[in-house]
Amino acid sequence: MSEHLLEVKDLAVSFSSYAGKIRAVRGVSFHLDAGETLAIVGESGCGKTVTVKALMKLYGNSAAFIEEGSVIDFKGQDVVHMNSRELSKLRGEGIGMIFQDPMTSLNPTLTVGYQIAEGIRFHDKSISRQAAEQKAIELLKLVGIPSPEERVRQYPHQLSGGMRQRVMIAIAIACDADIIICDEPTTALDVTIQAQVLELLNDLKEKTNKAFILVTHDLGIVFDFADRIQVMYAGVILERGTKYEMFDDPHHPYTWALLNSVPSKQSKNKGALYSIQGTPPDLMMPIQGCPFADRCDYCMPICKERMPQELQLSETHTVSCWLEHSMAPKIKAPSMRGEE
Amino acid sequence: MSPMNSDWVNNTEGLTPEMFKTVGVDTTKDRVLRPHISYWQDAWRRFRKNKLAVFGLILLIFLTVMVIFGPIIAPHPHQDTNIKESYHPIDSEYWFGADKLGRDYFARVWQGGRVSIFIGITGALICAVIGCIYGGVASYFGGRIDTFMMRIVEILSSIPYLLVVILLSMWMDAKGVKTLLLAMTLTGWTGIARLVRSQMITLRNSDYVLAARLLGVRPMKIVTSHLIPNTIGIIIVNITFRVPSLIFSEAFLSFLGLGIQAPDTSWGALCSAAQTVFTFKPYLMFFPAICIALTMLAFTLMGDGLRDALDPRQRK
Amino acid sequence: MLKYVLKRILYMFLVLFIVVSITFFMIHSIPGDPLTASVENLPKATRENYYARYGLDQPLFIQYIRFWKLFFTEGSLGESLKYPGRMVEEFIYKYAPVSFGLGIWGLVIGVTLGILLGIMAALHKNRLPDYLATLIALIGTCIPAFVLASLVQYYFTVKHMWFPTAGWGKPIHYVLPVLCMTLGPIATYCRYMKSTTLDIIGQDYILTAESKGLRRPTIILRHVLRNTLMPIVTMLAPSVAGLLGGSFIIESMFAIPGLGTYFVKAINSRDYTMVIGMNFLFTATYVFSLLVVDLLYLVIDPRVRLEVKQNRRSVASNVPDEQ
Repeated sequence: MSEHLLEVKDLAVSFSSYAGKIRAVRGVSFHLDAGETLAIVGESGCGKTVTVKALMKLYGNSAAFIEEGSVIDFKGQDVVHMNSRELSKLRGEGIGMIFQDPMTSLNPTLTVGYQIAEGIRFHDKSISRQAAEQKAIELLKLVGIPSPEERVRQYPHQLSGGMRQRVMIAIAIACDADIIICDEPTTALDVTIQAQVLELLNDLKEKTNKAFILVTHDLGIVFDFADRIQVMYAGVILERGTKYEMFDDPHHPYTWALLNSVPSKQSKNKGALYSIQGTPPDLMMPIQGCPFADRCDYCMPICKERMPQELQLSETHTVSCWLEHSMAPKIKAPSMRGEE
Repeated sequence: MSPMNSDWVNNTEGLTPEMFKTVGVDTTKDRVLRPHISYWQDAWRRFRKNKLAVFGLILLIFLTVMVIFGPIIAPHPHQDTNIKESYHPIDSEYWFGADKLGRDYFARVWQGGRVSIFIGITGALICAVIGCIYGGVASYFGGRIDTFMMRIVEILSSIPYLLVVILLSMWMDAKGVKTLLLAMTLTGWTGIARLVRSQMITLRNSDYVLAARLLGVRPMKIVTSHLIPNTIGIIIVNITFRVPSLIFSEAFLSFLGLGIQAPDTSWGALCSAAQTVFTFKPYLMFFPAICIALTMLAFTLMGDGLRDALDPRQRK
Repeated sequence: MLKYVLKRILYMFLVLFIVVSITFFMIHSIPGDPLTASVENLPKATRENYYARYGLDQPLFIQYIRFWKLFFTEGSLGESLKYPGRMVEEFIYKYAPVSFGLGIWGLVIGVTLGILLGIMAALHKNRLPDYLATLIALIGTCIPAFVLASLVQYYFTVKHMWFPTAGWGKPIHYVLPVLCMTLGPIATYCRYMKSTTLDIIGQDYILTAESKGLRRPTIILRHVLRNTLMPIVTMLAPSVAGLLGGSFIIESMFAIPGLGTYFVKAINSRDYTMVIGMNFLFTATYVFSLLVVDLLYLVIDPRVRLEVKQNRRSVASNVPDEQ
């Protein structure tokens, strides 16, 4: 029984493909409390989406499975070994999810109102059709869609991208879930719409006591929205901490690189945008040593041999890097944005 | 991994200073992860992995070989009638037995196969050529010409093709391979014309073509490097599915008496002739029927395999 | 919306008109005529009488006008050349129901079974139900109908005398012919349904539905099926038209008195009026089924409804490919 709303320990998720087993998530642990917002940041393919989908065992069509030994504890329930009935209850009522692409995440042949009310009616069998539709209208109002009474009967293709994403948000919060997972909610939207959607999410965050998990590769939106940040790479967490710790005192070279990649007005390198050399490792092979070794400017021979253990820098700040070792050279974080 | 305290940070057991020398990024490792393969190589590789498709291909090769060499290696020429040997049973002399007129059925079946497969493949190719040209022209011009051309296609598609075939065979009054081919291709090209046109339009509006144009690539080069390779896949799959459909139609028409006439033969004609004596001499129907079924099976399996293999979205 | 529907119906009649006209002129330009098909040497006078009687001596265009005049004033398609005294529509009224009945049974059963098999195959991909369904579909695709009919006939009527070989009228006569007719649709719809279902299951909105907690059966029924209906409906039109064509063979093999048999006879004996009349019927059926399909789209797919409202949909745009 954990004191956290959500506790994840040693989560490992793999896919079986015709070429072998792909280890997408390799031992990830974290926790989440009510009212908190956790951001999981990393490049595409680092395993962040797989991690959060595993929280609801939402594999979709893929041949994914959670490895034995993983623990996902939500309000005292063991998610990993849930049967389909319990899982059904968890999804929507316990945890809700907002997906990345609003253009394809809504069924084109059902009205928007129906899709919102669907979840409501499933989790509350006693509610009537009209009452559910009423609730859908209220939710549409809550997410800032004008003339909700009209919109509720419209089809997804009659709404713009930004509005569709709001509908997705409405669907996610429809059944009063305790945790809302936002999987790259703004990636597929224009910048101006991004800002609106983020504002909406912030609004919801303040009004309710829900916990949020924000998955993104865009550090730019993380600071305003999240309380804590964890950086993932090749299926493992390299560093995590509160947002202040991560932005003011990052310890891992990957975090430095990520922060450096955010273009800003104060950028020192006027001209070329900074990008990290190389590509993420092949997840089909077991990785020896630190997964970031090949691309790290500060790589040392030991980095390629063994995986560094996690070091606790504060109650909330941990990092896994050989640079922390007493025998390693003392490297100061390079100056980054906001540090001129 | 649960966070530990700073013990490991100070644990120097088995560690040397060399291990902690800054080395930086290993640039030698920045090579491309997977070897470069072209679209066609990748498609072939995927095709090969599909056991059913490969089976279809092997089956097809087998049938082709038999159809070419069958009549040659047969003990008796296919057109030689020999009334004395009428309905000769299957044995070492007459491998498939003999038909009503004493002709070697083995030779006849494979001879008929030549005609059937020829019609199938030729018909499909002709349809493909006409369809490509028509669709390409329509999409190239766009606008009213395109609309007009497509209206014609729509009206032609509304005509039940059976009707066309029947009318044409009546009209030409010759019921042979040529008539059959003409009848089947006269309206058969509409499907592929539509496919080609819609694919061309999609491609033309696609981002990478736009990029090519912006980069100043000459129109002809765009056509050959971008438009055609991306359309060929679809065309090939369409042809592969058309062939069995045409063979089937030929069989059907011959069965109705509108197709190949004696003394020429095709699998359909053989089945048709065998139908009346089916209860007594079932083998006369079985052999050509099995050949038709096998051919259709082969093309269908291959078609499925090709379609999966040539789908660029499934590239790994 | 109404305007669109009306325009669509008009378009159907237009196409029908064009096709029938083309048929008419084609038939009449065929060398040879009804007489040469049946009798060789006839005295000139008899010939002329014959032609005069059927109006075949008139210029082609006049014949054409008379054809339509007859159709619109008396609803008749003319007198059969082969069966003097009997009108073409008589044959149609008498025998078309037989062919249609056979075809409809075959189609309904075939489509239903095909769809069910297809869904099953998609949901249990690469397991036993999938292999079974694929096998059935392959058999249906690769074995020509007449072969199947022969086999079935041989096995069920000759070897084991469970069913009568031929004949018509009692329910038991229906069993074998309908069985033969279902295999084609089962095969086609099974394959198509499987691939469409697989496609849809991979879509993002299915994941959204799962994330709400919905159970598998609900997702399949409510989300998957609705989206698979469109392509299936598209395929129905040619299938309906194929009803008549496919039944030719079955009819002849089971000696069923249907339209197909008479059609073939008409062709071979150059019975112009019969051929034209029956073709009229076939084309009308096909074009009508296309119309029904188009109108069904309006009902099923809200995107199409929107296109129509915004006048973005052409009347002729959804004619599906043959076969």
